[in-house]
Amino acid sequence: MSLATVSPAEFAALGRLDLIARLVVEGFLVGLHRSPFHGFSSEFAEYRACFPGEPVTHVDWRVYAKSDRLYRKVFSEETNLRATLLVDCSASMGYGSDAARPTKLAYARLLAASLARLLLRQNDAVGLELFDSRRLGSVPARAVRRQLFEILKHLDDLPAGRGTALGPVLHEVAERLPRRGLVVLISDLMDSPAEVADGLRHFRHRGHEVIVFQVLDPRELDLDFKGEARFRDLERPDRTLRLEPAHARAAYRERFEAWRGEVRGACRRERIDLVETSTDTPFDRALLAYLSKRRRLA
Amino acid sequence: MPLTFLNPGLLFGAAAAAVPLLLHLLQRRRVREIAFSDLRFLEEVQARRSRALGVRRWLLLLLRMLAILLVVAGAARPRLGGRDASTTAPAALLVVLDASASMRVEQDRGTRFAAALAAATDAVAALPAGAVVQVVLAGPRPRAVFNGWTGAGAGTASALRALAPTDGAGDPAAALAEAAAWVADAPQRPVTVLLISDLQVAAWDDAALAAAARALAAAGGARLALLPVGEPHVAGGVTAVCTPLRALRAGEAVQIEADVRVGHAGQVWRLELDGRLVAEAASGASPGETDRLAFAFAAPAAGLHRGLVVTAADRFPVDDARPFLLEVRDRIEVLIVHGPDAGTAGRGGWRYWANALAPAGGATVDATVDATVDASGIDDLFRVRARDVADVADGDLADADAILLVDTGPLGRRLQEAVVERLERDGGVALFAGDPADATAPDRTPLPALGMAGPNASRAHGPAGAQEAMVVAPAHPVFVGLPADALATLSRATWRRYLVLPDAGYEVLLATRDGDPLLALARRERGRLLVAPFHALPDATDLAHNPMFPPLARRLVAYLAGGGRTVSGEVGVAPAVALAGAAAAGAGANGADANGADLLAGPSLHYRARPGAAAEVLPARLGWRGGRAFVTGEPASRQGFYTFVAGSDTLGDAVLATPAAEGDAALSTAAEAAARLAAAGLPLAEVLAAAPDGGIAAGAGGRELAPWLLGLAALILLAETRLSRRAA
Repeated sequence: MSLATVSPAEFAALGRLDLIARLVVEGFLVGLHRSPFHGFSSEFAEYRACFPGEPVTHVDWRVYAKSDRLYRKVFSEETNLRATLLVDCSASMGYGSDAARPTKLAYARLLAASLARLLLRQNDAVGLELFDSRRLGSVPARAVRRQLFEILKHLDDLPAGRGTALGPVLHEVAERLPRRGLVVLISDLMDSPAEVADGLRHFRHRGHEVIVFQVLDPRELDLDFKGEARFRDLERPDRTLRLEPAHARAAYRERFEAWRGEVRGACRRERIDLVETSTDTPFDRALLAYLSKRRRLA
Repeated sequence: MPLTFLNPGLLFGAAAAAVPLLLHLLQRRRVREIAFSDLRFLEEVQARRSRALGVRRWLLLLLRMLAILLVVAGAARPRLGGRDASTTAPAALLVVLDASASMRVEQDRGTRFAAALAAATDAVAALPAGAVVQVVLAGPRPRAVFNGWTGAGAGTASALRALAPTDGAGDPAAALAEAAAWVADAPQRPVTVLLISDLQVAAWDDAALAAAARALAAAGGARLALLPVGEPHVAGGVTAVCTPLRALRAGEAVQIEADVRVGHAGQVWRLELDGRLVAEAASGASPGETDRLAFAFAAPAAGLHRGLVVTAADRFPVDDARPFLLEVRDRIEVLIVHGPDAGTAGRGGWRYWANALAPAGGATVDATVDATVDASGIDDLFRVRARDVADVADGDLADADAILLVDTGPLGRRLQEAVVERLERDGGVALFAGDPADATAPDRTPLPALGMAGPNASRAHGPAGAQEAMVVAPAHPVFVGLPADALATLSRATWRRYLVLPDAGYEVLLATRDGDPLLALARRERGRLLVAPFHALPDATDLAHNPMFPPLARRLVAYLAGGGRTVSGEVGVAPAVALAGAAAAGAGANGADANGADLLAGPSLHYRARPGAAAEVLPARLGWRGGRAFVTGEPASRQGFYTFVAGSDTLGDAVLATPAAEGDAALSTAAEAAARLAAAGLPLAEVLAAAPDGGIAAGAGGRELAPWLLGLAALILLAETRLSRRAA
């Protein structure tokens, strides 16, 4: 199966999350061979002999000069990456404008499962945090074999979300994480950009690397509805709005794009990688594109 | 100013203006619900736009409703200042439709009559259910189209479409009088009389209109509406054809004159006889002017010839060809009734006339009372019979084309009646006075008995005082065509003794230098009376020895005999021909009374149009007057040649022409006509206007608002479209 040609809907039709995640990761690793998450936040752990074919980037030349043997430094993060996946389960993530496309939450689940499998495959510790306006559940980060099962089980049993309050939740999770590591936030970020940035900044202050996958629906981007309708807010069911989309489209797009610009700016200021994707983009493509970019940078 | 509607029923369509509102309300209820992730951005946008959107939405709704209302109002055809047709819808409508020849004028969208028919149809169609209608066709003789008041259904419309105008003159007053009779019998009230006409000026008769007004009032009253349908035009045509008033001989030089109305510069007219071009003439007058054209040709062979003076057809084709009949004689029967002869030395001037008419006959005069003279003249044209006044029988006058009464003195009662009857029947009589030396001569002329003024004096000049004559009317048919030297020769004749006729009532042809009439003409009914207050004996005048005397005598008698056996008349006037010869004998042999002879009565008696003309067969009646039979036909509606027949026998010919006034382009304006009708006492309630596409634009005098309303609706729809797009 070529992941590049499989749509998210088709992937979702495969059913089992673990199977999907395995396909994604193996597809990725066929091309890349190595996790891109090595080599940052380095902390020297030990020396290890080099094997033929390894890159010479980390060869310790002093040791070679003294011993006439090739040894490389092994950093603690190479084998002890601690990643935490934050999955937004708020009501807005449950939005899907077309039955042919997955909801944002389903899309996020696939992303999270794929990332978890990738990280665990290389013996990294992966944890999971589920939230909406509050924490809904968590799986502490571990590198054991059973960890993927636990994570997938939580992802399979995602509770029905309510409203969004990203800022407080991010602060709370940031305080709870014991060590610095990798924080991957999968959300639509439908909250105040300032509060989101504030929360993400908390992670940065605590030494975490943060990656944000912003998942949106195409209709949220272009408001391509026809005919007057009464719109109901998923997070505030009592709030409805009757309008003719054609009349509001241009202004909405302009406002929405302005908001996205604010989010981009906030992430850029905090040196947070922001991956913008939508549910009509094959999710593996978005994921793989980002991971490849990281690998090149690494 | 009142606001009225031509189609008020369409105003109910205004309810359609509620459709946009209903759709708006229905859409509000039926709108679908869509779940959306987060409405915050939409709320922000909507908050900014809501006010403008709300205003715009209501504005769009109002514009749509207003556009619908304007379209409905426009379709109802409102008029500002007009009259609401529905409030004055009649229970009975009587349409008086002008069917005169002038209604055949071609206008921009068809003939005037077509426009009138469209208006009449429109008026009938607009009647409310249960209304009744009658139509009076106003031609020369108004007639009702339907046998009675009838409902306004499909049959009425088809009957209207079958109507056609006549070639005759219109008589609005007579038509209104006919309408009054129908108004009296109207089964429902109120009654509206709708007069549709081109309002030709020549057609109005104020006295007759006043009589029609009284008749309408006596009939219970009606509301009168006037609808003019005429547009002015300038067209050429022939208004009259003047055939020679004297009997013609084959080969004789003839001149026929025609009065024409010029339609365009250089217009040419042709004279045709029996379908062949005989002469042409062009007019140098300007368009709109009248002219008299002369057509000169040689008289064809003896017989009755059908002629046309014709020009190129124009917008009024009826008067572009005017028919006439030309009779060329092969015999003129002359009867000389003379006073008692007392030998050649006494009276007997009648012989000079007889010899002048038939010099080759070798006539002799028998002095006995019973003597008769029969002679034939040159070319056998004149056949002269002479009878002593005491011996004249009733049948002697019957076949005479001209009767010369020479020195007869007072006529007996029977002869007097016979002469009067001949005069009334288009006959020709010449009366020659007796010898002025007879003191009683002025009192003994039969002129007073014939209704003419008798001589009031006499003249007796000595040889030195003999009066020369002068031709007073050289253009008269008696003299027309004679060269100037011939007239000069005639002027050298002298008169010594003659009676003096008064001027009044006579048309003088020849007079003394002192102005005393020598030859005078008078009209008595349709007959021609020539009075010569002298006798032809040498002691009175040397006329008989003047070289011009024979031609003068022949021309005078030919003029008297010019009545002929044909009838020329106008369309719409009952033509009548006198029966002659065997027909008259047959009519009389059965002891016919005033109601007609069995031989000639019944369906076989009729007159019909000649082949090639509009087919028309009309009944005729046999009548008697003064012992003479004649046939009278009902008025025809088409101009052309007609023949009176009884079975297989031809009784006479007639030519009927359109009255010249029908070609007159002068039309009254609606205001002028309205004033005229009102002055006559007619209850004119309104003046309507013809709609451009036919029919009636009710409430004339108001301003048509529909174009404005529909234009405004179009602008509103354009604005609505732009506003919708901008909102999107």
